[in-house]
Amino acid sequence: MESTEMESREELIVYESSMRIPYRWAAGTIAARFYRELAQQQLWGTRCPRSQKVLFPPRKNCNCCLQETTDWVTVGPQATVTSFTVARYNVALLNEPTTYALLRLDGADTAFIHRLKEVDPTQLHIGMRVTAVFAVEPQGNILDIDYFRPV
Amino acid sequence: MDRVAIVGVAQTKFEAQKLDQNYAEMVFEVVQQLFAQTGAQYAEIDNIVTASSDFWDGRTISSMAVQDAVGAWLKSETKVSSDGTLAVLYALMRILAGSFKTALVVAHCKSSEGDQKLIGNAVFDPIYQRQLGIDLVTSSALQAQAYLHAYGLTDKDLAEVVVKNLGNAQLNPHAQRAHHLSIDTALQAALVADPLREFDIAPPADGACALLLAHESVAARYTDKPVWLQGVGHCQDQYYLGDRDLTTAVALEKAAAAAYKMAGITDPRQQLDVVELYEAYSYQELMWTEILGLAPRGKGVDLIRQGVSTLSGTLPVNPSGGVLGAHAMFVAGLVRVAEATLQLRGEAGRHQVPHARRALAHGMVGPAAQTHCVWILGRD
Repeated sequence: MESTEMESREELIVYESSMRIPYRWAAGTIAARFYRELAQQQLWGTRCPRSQKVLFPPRKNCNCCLQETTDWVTVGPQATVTSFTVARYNVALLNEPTTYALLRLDGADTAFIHRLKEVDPTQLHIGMRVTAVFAVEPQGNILDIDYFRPV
Repeated sequence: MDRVAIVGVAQTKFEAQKLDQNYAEMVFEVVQQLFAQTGAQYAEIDNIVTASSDFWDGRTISSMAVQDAVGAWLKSETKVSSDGTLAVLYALMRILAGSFKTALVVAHCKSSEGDQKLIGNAVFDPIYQRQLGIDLVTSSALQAQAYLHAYGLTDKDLAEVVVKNLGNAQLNPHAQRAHHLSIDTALQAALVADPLREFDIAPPADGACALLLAHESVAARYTDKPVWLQGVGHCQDQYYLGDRDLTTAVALEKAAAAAYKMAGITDPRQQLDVVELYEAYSYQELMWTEILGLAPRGKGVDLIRQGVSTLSGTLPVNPSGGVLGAHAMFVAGLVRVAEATLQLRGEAGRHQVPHARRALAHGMVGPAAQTHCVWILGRD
């Protein structure tokens, strides 16, 4: 009985496959301008005319009142850590252990996710001050900010 | 409003990898079990709502592959690509609309078949976030850290949830992960994404769950122990984590308020007998119990330390072991509803809570729990 069961389990197969589907996502006018400025090492958010909230990363419409954001405002490059984590495993796409933070750039009212480097994990804390380090060769994506490091 | 009851529940055993079943076969197993239990016939069930994910199944329109298994051939099948608790809400609406007297609700997931890191990463928007490699674990770790910091809590508080829930899971034959741990041994587990250790993170599971809902006019046909849907609330917060206050969950607060109002609950700590929560991470049980009004903010852990939410307490939380015992995406919330139903029917076996008459079941979905759904279920 046991050997029959073992034989039948050995007959089970797992069909190995994968899907690789290239996409071309339109970034929209706001993100396009954001990335053009980022290539010049400039960080911009958009301001909601009703709530006066500065959104970073910039959005075309306010995330709360849906008002069209009309003003562009420079923010950062310094920021405050509002939360953090040290991923001890090789994360997706970057394929290395990565320290993530939620960061509020100076002048912005929303936080956003990025990675930290050049930081002693035991020194990490909420309220920590950090500054952006820009990529040497910008590619038009969020890693044009290479990382943030302690001020 | 017309009343609708849960008249049957079925679930598979949850396992890290089910090699002997493809996902349609897994779904067929629970549907057969449910029909055998309720005496329902395929021919009379014409309203079927499924919950599953295209990304987890690795195909478009994931419900297409289970349409035969749920008996939807030449019938109306519709899918929720979200947690199973929301599929119950959709099924309830289709009954209350007057179009159907019954609804079969089925959720399935085989976590073992896809790359969890890549699928979790695909949750994030490709323009501003995805390239950073962030996933469901790391985004929840950011929430955990913010919550612990806000209330001066530590990983020792998280370990209380781990010890309780994995201990309860030992009594649940459907659970995938169950351990008898001490706080010290729980804290020796490897850090995965600070402050979360291996035990703080629910294990990806393969499994399925099914419920049968019936309008009050036909419920007695299927069971003599109907469990009534007394209240429901559903709400979602901002998509971007940085747009939310991660130290709380406003969406859960609003969902709970709506469900409590509908069910006439003014003092949940006194009026509820058992609670099943979707805690994909240990910290979430602490946050959710506080936001549900069962403990003051920052004091959810006292429910465990004081023995209130333990299996023998006055208000057991996750007597099944919760999602820390098994995490099949989109299925886990439906399992919370199923487990609450078993408790109210007195059929929960070794993790039965005595004399349970009213239960809360909770589902959530999205990065750091963007969306919440709260159900109040009762014997009456």
